[in-house]
Order: sequence, then structure tokens, then C-alpha cells
Amino acid sequence: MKKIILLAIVLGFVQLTNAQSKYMTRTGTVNFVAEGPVKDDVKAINNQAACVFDAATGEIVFQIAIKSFVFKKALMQEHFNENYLESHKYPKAVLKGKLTNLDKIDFNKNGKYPVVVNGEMDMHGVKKQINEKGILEITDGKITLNSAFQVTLADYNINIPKIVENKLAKVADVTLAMELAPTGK
Amino acid sequence: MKNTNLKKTILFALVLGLIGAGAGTYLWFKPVEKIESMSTDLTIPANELFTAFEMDEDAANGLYLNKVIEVTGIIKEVKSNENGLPAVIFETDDIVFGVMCEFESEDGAAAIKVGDLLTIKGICTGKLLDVILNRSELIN
Repeated sequence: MKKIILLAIVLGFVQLTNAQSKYMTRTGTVNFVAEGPVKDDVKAINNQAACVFDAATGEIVFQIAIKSFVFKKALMQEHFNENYLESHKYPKAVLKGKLTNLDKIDFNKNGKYPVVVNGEMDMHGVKKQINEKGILEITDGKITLNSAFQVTLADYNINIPKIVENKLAKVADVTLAMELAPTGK
Repeated sequence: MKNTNLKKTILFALVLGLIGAGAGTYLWFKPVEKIESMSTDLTIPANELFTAFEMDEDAANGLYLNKVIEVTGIIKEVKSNENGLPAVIFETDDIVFGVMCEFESEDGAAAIKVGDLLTIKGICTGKLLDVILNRSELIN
């Protein structure tokens, strides 16, 4: 009996180490909302976020092209790029981190797991430590990652001129939705 | 006489004010321009664009970032993004990554198949894993 259990454990381990560990998307969605007290549709969407996740180590990297954010209003998009995020100088934002509770996730079983990503966000030329929560869902070998967090614009040296202060929030709400598929490597 | 002059000045100021307010309102509410009405800045094969970013990303950003580009190449992947919009990836010398175009709408994208030789117009927003064209449309 012991031998059978041992064999099962060994086989399980072999399967685990052989199993797919890298997951990726290049079409993730990022929503950005920074509505001030006076509502003016300060919202943008970016459907081209890239995300690579290594389920063996818990390492995760998000990359976002700032210019891929699309607003409804042309002037808002222009100000977002030229005055606030200066996307000609800093074309992308990168978040590199690690899932801190990787041991709680069974990647072979469908289910939802709360996760915490600890790492560093690099945006507008400023690097800052972050610790954000999200939900990781496993569905038949695919991973969906959802997270909602807040970004204090001043932390990234993004200065809002007095004249638009009532239209723009000092703290932006950011939501991420990533459907990660195995990379096949 | 003086009174008429004053009236004229006030009327003039009012008209000027209205025009200003109108122009301001127009600019404020002006929607983001559709890709189809933008003129193309340059045309380039997909592999050349990708290689330029691979070799020197800063230099390539200087040349291509925020430009309206028509890219030609062979489609290696057709998919839709997390928001349901079509996205296609052009083949390059890199085995995994290429030039990804996200469509502004579903128009024209439905018929695209892997292996098609196509030209797609979009706004270059830089390189992440792939070089990215945002708000694309099919040219031919």
C-alpha cells in the first residue's frame, strides 16, 4: 500500500514538473478611470496589455503601452499622453512581481483563488513598490487574472494642473483582466 | 450715436464670445479621430518594423511611435482580445512574437485567415512582447 502511495506521489511529482508552467496573453484589458468631483468621462481602455506568468515560480510581468489607451474625447487622450504620462518619453508601464501565495494554488484543479502580487511598478520614469490583490481563476488549464487597484498619480510624478483639478481624480482606479493561455513551451 | 457704437461693440463681443465658446466646446467634446480618416505616415513590411524595435527600441520609438503605419506581411495568428475585438499577428523572423494589430471595429476582420498576405493600417504604440498597432483597419 505504501509503495502504491509513494508511486502515486512520484508520478504526481513527475507530472507536475513536466506540466506547462508558462502562461501568456498579449491582449489583456486595462481600464483606467480618473473621474474628479465633476464627472467628465475621464476613462480609457487598453486592450493590448501583455502579461507573462510562470506558475512554477510565481513570477509575473505586465507590460502596457501607454499610447494604447483610448479615450472617448480626443483632447483628453492628447493631454493624457502629452502632459500627464508623457508617453513620448515613457512609452510603457511595466509591473514586475511575484505571487506571494503560490503554494495555495492548485493549477490542475478548476477554481478561484485570491492572490497577492508583490513587486515593482515602473511608470512615467518612476519605480515604486506595490502590493496588490487579485483573483486568479483556473478553468480547464487556462488562467484568468482579475485585479482592481488604485494608483495615486502624484506617486508617479504625474502632476495635475489646478485648472483641471475638479475634473481629474488624484487617485485613479485601474482594473486588469488577463486571460492567460499556456505558451506551449 | 455713442449708444449705437456701444451696442455694436457689445454685439461684436457677444458674437466673438459665442464663437470662442463654440470652438472650445467643439474641441472639448471632439471624439477621438477614426483610423479611416487619418492619413498614413509610412508603409513598412512587418518584419522590418519588428526588427527595428528588436535592434534598438529607443531609436525605433523615435521613428515609429504614434505614427499611422501601413504594415504588410503574412498573418500567423487571428484571435480576439479580452474585450471581444479582433486582433491579428503578423509573422516575423522571431518564432514567437511579431506585429500585433488590434482592430478598431469588427468590420473587415472576420474574413482574415492565417496565411493571408495583407496590409493593415494602425497607430504604432510601441513594443511590448510584440510591436503593437492600435485601432487598426484592413487595407487589403
